[in-house]
Amino acid sequence: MISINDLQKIVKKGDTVVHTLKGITLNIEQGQIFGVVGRKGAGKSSLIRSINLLDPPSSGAVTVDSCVLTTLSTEELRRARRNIGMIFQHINLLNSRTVFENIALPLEVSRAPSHTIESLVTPLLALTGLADKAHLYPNDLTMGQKQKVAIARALVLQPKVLLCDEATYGLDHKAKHSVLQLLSEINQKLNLTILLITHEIDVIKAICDRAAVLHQGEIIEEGTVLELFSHPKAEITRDFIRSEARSDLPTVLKNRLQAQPHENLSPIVRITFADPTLEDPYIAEVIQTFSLSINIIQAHLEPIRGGRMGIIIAEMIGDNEDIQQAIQSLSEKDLHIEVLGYAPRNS
Amino acid sequence: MLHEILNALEETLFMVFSAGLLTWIVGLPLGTLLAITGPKKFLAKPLMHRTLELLIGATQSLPYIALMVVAIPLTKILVGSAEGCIAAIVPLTLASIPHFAQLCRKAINRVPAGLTETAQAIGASPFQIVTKILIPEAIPNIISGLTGTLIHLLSFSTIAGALGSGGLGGLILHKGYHSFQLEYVLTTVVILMVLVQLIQTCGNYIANGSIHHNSNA
Repeated sequence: MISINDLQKIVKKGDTVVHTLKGITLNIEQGQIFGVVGRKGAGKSSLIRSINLLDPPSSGAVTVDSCVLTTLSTEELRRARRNIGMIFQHINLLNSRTVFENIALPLEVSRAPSHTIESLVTPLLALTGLADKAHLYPNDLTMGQKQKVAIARALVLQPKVLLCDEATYGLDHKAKHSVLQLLSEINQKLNLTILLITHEIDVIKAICDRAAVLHQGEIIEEGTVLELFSHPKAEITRDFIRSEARSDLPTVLKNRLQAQPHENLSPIVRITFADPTLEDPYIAEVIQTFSLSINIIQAHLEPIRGGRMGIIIAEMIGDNEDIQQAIQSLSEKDLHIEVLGYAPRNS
Repeated sequence: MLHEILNALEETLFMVFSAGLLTWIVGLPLGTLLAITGPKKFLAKPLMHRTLELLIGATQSLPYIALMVVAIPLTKILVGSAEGCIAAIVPLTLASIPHFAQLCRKAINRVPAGLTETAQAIGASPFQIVTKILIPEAIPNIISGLTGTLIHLLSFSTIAGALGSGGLGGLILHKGYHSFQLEYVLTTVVILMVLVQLIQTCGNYIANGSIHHNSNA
């Protein structure tokens, strides 16, 4: 549905030349929710803005729904943009218009007759749960409600693709959750392809099918969300996953942790595993096969799109050789095991 | 006396509101053009922007008396005469256009850039961006600008009156300066003060009515 080929963006700021996008290639299939995660300044904004050419790339091709946008004339591009909905971090509603009129704006711009406006806006008000707010002004709404109005506005031209530029940034936890819920819902109901960019890994975890990690203008890792969480390859991806507080170590333990193995230290490991693996008693098998005990320090299971993911932080107690073999055996299975450090044994 | 004052008031109101209307018609598009052709704006046109800025700056820096004199040939071409209250509309309009255009430009520049981006993302043309987004969002500020402009026009019109275009300014000059009839001067001054208050109040009322609640626009 969206295909990006060797996208380059070079910006001149006075004398310095900044290479914000360095040959990005991505393919996003119809009906997918695809997330791009990256830190501030990674080029996320440039990337999403180059898809509808709000911020045209220096070179490369963007194809949306088999239409090569990068070759269109101004007028053709204006028309093509109506197939691409977009929502923004700053929401960007018109304060001079009511909720209904804000949602109707794209229809007015494409000169839709007034009876179709009514019939297209009303179902969207229902879908976004704003039916009773139709005649209020944006300043009477909460941030979460405003973003839902913006979503309705982005959907009113029945686009093929929805672009979300940090759409939940700055929303409180509840509003963020309900906006993500809505995005997931419209993806399923309308079979809409969604590309979102964010700096928050939990957004990716909550609703994306696939995700890519953008770092300094390059995609350094891409895969299903399960793959990224269970087998993160790049250091930056691991950082992101670690930044999810619950997969991190308890502070007390973190302070005791040492980097090098030693006679009286036990390795502390993090085991990440996803759905099919979840059913198998790997840990029990390991305990039986090798004579060691595993002390689970922290464990939790959480839903991600298309399955569940488990994260266990455990201390492995036993003979060093046995432990090494156990780790080896576990890493051969379909799960990810990482030694975080070594802690003094509690004897 | 009442008759004379009412006549003068009528002339003043005619001058102020005709010039006000013309200022709106010319100043709003001019200010908008100035705003959207500026650097980093969606229709950035540096040469056009600079030219407009210079033109407006030059007109703005001219004292009103000088402008009236400079405008005489133009007034003669447009109105056929350089005297009377119809003729005064020309320099009055010329004097208030740059001021009002600058206010419109400021009002439009205060509309968040994200709204222009949103409009582009839904496929709006530059004309639609201006008429459907920028002006409606800027209207509360544009209206307060217009209020100020009308009050300026009222004060300029009294100077114009003193220079032969009639109206309340003319009345003050003739009855007050030439024959020192204090009652005329006092009445006229009171009327002018009431007019200013009226314009201000109406302007605020309309501007507030067009702001939808605790607007952050």
